[in-house]
Amino acid sequence: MTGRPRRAGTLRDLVDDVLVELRSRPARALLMAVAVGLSCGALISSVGISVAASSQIDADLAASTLDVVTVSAVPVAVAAATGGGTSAGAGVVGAGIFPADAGDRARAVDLVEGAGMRLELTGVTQTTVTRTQGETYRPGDFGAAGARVRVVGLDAGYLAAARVDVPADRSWHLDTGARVAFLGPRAAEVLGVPDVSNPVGVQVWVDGDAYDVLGIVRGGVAGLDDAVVVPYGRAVEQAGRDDRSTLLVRTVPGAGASVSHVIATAVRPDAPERLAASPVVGVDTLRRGVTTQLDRLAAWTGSVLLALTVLLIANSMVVAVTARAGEIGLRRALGFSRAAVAAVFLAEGGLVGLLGGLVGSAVASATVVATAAASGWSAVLDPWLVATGPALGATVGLAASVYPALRAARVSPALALRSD
Amino acid sequence: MSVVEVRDVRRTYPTSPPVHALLGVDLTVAAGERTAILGQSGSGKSTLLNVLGLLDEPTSGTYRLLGEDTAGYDGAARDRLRSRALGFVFQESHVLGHRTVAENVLLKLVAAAVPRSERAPLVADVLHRVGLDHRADALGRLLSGGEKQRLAVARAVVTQPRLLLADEPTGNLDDGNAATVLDLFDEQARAGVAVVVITHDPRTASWADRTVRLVDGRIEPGVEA
Repeated sequence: MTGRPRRAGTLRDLVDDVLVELRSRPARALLMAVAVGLSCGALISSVGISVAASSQIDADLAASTLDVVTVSAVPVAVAAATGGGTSAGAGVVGAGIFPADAGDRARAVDLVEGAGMRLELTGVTQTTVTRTQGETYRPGDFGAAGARVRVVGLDAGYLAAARVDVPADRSWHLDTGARVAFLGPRAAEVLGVPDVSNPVGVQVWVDGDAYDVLGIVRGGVAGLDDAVVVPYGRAVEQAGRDDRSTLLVRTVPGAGASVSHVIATAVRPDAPERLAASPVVGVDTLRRGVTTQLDRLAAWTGSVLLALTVLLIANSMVVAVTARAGEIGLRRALGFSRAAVAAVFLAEGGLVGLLGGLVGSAVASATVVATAAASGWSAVLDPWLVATGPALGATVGLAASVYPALRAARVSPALALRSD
Repeated sequence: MSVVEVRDVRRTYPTSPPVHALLGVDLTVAAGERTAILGQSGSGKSTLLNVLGLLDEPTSGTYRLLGEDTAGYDGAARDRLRSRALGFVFQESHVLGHRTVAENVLLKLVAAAVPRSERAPLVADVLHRVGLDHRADALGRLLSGGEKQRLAVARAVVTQPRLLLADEPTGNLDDGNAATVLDLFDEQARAGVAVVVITHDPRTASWADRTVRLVDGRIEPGVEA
């Protein structure tokens, strides 16, 4: 038999060898596989849950922000630099940035559900608001603890687009030119207006003009809690300009980005460069940022678990190398090379890791589905992520086995056989 | 032809102080010869066995195995010779208790890279020769002392080695089992295998063609028969 040509031991021999070892120590093999499985499962499920959470956040953000576009005026210098002139189109109010029918033009765009104008009068002019005629209070003077009241010009389309609750749907009064006002709940409190559904006969005075209060407005995305809402036309008239106005456009969900690209042209076809739509891209960036942060959190958490598992398995295998010193010596005496001895431990770790990874993938899949179900989310399970489980487990097992395998390879057969 | 030719072999362990385990050993073992090495604990018997088995290297001197000077062998060549040309019989604890009898024998064939298709017949044949064919599927730990030594012999000879090295192969056996093991060694010797046995056992010493006594790392003059 000495004349037989030498062949390298086959991978099948190695696997057979390791399977015998694992079979002979099933509890240890099972514990190691479970450790790998749990850590791989933790990583995959945490990433999976992160994906599901990201998806949910994504949807929530899309629902809450991607159907709102704000159009504002571009400063003249900027508009001129981008090729725009200063010509005013027909029907332009005040300084002529927004057409009088800007809301109607916006609503004519496909996918737009509502639109309306807004002008923050406070900050544009020195506006005074009083509860009774002759008072001299100014915004910021009302009440205690720094309470403030702002004057905001809105049209009915704005209140609808902002989804503000208007008592008895009296918002149409804002488009009539009448001196009427709505109050935010905080402003009503500051001004001493009773919070009733129909405050008949109550007036507030804005720059000396009496405005009939039609009710309290609540909710929506307009931020009107501390505002006195007056007709948009009167606000522009008082400000003498509309370059600080904004056009709020409500689209069908998810159409914000599309509408933002065309809304300026729809409202000002003669000079679209004078208007700028709100940066929906910025919202996309926010969504990506949230997703990225969640992914990083999950990846770090899982990685720490994996590192701990590597240490646990490495420790277990180092103990095994010590306990199996006699066997290692015997293998070397039988003719196994150092590399072949090391390969046994590497293959053992890799195989256990592979099995653990399979378990981990299964555990992770179940965890993601269960977590999503419990949280009312849509379960998002990337098949590729699940498929990484076995590879991840095998990698963990191999990494954990490197040091024990090197120790095994360095065992002196003569000493090991004598000491056993 | 000499299977083993040892000339002035010395082995010093670089401890503090250094341990001189072998101090110039000369030994020749021919094919088919049965040699027993006697000596007290610490006399260098195990060191000599490790050198002969290519598990250790002499500090100086020459060891020719099958006519080739082993000094030029690298690790791979030593591994190859151990797997094919050498057979070891250790004390019973070196039977792997968690493997079956057949798997214990198979391990040597895997080490020797014997093709898979040839392994089963070789295992069956050698187990039949040592009388363990009916125990092929039994776990090593379930064997009796005599069965373990027969298994160790089977594992050592399954690759038909040229040199069989045994360390106290009959020390823990009763007369019947000791005789069986020595009969198996005889069978190997008749087939031309050089058999070297380290022993304290008078039964084994009297069985050998010649005995060599090691005293303090040297072969005692006049004792070699």
